[in-house]
Amino acid sequence: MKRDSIVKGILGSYTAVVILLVIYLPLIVLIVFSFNDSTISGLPWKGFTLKWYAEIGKNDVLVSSLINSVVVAAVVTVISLVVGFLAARGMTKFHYRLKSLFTGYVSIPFVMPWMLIGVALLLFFNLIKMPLSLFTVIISHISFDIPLVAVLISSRLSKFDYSVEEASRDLGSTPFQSFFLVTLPIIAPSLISAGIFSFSWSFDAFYITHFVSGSQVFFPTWIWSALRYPNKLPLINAVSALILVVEIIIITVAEIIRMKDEDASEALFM
Amino acid sequence: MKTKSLKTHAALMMNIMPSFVYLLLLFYVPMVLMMVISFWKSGFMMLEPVFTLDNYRNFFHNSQYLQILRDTLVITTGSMFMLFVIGYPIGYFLGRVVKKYDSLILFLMIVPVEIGFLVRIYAWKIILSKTGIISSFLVYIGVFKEPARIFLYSKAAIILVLIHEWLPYVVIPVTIALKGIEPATLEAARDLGADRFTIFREIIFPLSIPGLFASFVLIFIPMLGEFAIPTIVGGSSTYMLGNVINNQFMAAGNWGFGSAIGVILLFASTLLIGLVIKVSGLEKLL
Repeated sequence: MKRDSIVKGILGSYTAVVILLVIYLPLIVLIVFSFNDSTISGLPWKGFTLKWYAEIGKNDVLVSSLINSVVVAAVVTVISLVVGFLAARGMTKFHYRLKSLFTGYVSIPFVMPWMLIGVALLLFFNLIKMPLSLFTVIISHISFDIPLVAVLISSRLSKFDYSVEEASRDLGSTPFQSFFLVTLPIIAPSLISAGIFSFSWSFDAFYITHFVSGSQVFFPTWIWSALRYPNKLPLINAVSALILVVEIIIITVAEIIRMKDEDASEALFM
Repeated sequence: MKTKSLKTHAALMMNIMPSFVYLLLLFYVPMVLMMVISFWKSGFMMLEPVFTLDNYRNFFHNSQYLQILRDTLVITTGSMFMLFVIGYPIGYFLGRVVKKYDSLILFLMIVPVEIGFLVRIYAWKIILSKTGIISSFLVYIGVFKEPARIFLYSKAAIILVLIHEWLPYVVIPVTIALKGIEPATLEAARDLGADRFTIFREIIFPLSIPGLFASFVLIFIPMLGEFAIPTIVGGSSTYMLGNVINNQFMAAGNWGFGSAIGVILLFASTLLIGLVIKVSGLEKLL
């Protein structure tokens, strides 16, 4: 028994140290240096300031890139939720011969390197002579977001009892009634959390956006180009710290909703 | 009966058709297009639908590109190995040792790596730089005489950031696999006289292999397509295949060549996954 608690102590402290140093250290550093009164993000500490935060609003390109990314993420999330949810039903509800083939078909983009999706779409848009714009960014993100939503929701639907839908149909409701009054309330938590995940993925999707955005600026591509200018680095610190905090709050809410609903982490791996 | 099956058929089609058509048009067709274009005659800002193997020839006859391919494989397999070594004990802790708070700890691991991808890479640059906190700390306690970079601009820095990025994706599948082991199996082994080490070697570890495989698939292919991490912390001498592809598309304008490297990358990853399945004997488990 004593040996058990020693093992527990060693593994526990190991876990804590790794999480703190490998995962959290960069976030802490970023947030701390966003308050440093110096253009160099390093020691020695030059004093506390909020001026970098004040500069966010003054940078027009940055503000419009944030707006672009929010618009894209919102549209992408709505469309991916609808199509991805239907795909998840196709992966779980019906019995047909090619079911596992369909599941694989929907899941493959999920394990593809993002940059290759971006490159392939760039070639495609070029071939059909479609100019790169906000629109190409949206339809490109959806290519990855449909599989993301489908994988997340199908793990929930695989435990869903479809006979409640049938029961409501037998009692005379239309397909739409049975969906909105029976199915939707039951699976709403996983839809909400899948929506928040696909939103934050799209907002942050550098690799695909980089190739299909043309001259339009989006938040991740703004960061990518700003990283080359040393005088912009404190501004990057500030805007990222701000977004990190906002996103941590949103994702925490999403996770709490999801954990209430099902065993969270299994969704991605089962 | 007939109308019922027709109705079910229509309902099935309504569910699978939207994603089928969408992914066909905006994922599978572009992917196939990339493969086709990799065989087209191509040069600076020039692309002609004439069949050629030149793009592949240029890659395999250029020692510089072959070196980058080797570097990419060294970095990705090195990171994968380190990820398993660092992540497995955490997965073991969460899956077998700790009874409470395991989902909270997993949550703490997942949250930060889902946001601010580029910014987190850049934060590592701040940490490892000459004026960064590690260097300053080592000077302060007297280990360093003057500030110095801590393996910034090297393969080691790339591997470190890759570990940061992908660690949760090792821990989660291992945790799930280890949680799934029936207590009865372990009791049986104990009753038959197996000691802790034997139980781990003969039962626990083999049963966690599917989890390790899941994380391998989930991590390895995306890692091969990395170019932001080597650009930001790898310095000017370390490139990965992703950098070459990015260069061909965004600077050099040779899209046929870029496509060919993309195909090579896909082919290499498929080959490696097949190899891992063979070597680990996973066929029997899957």
